[in-house]
Amino acid sequence: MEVQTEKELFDSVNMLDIIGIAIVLLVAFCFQFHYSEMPCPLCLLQRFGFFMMAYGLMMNVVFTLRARNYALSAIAALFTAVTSLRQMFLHIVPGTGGYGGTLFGWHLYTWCFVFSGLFLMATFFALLFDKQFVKMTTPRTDTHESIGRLLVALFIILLLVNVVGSYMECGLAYCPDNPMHYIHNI
Amino acid sequence: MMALLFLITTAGFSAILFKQEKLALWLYCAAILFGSLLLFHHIDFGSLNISL
Repeated sequence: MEVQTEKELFDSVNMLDIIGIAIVLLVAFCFQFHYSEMPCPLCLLQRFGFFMMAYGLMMNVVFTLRARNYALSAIAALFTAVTSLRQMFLHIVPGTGGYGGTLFGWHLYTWCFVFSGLFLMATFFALLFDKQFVKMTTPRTDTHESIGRLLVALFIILLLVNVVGSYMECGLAYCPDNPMHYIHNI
Repeated sequence: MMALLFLITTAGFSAILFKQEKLALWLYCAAILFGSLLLFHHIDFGSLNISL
């Protein structure tokens, strides 16, 4: 594959990954606001992990494609996998139930573990194609940069909603393990 | 604490938006470190009935 073609391909793959992560986060918001489910501290940490998974990809899209940026996303995917695995272990004993609602029969933390595992594999697979990291003298197209910046702006909005939501739930203290109601109302 | 963690992450994404690569990297490190500390707190090793 040509260097330019590979670069454009991986730019697009990174953007699609970011859109996929945004959809996952929007599903989590849907459970919180539409079904009135309070996110537990581990759930919030899994959300944080998804944001950080998008962080490295975002740096790939806005700055330039680098192996380092993929590594940042891989570290975040490991963090998310550990967090969701811990939550799965909390409910592993038969009869202990689960936390929150289910989606297609699985709890959100189980989906989270599956997604972070798949994301980790996809990141390592992307690292196999090293022509994408070759430095080019020609600048990137404006369209790529504008879409990238638009995606960053979308993530900033999602993050600000999370800042307000987690402040309403926990204030500035540690979040309770089993939150029942918001402690601050706006 | 969690709101603070998301605030640091927001600052990181803003650094990306304004093309401050070094600042974005530092904020990534700060967020992952703080997130890991919160994770260790919420894992609550004391409650685990395991022998390592």
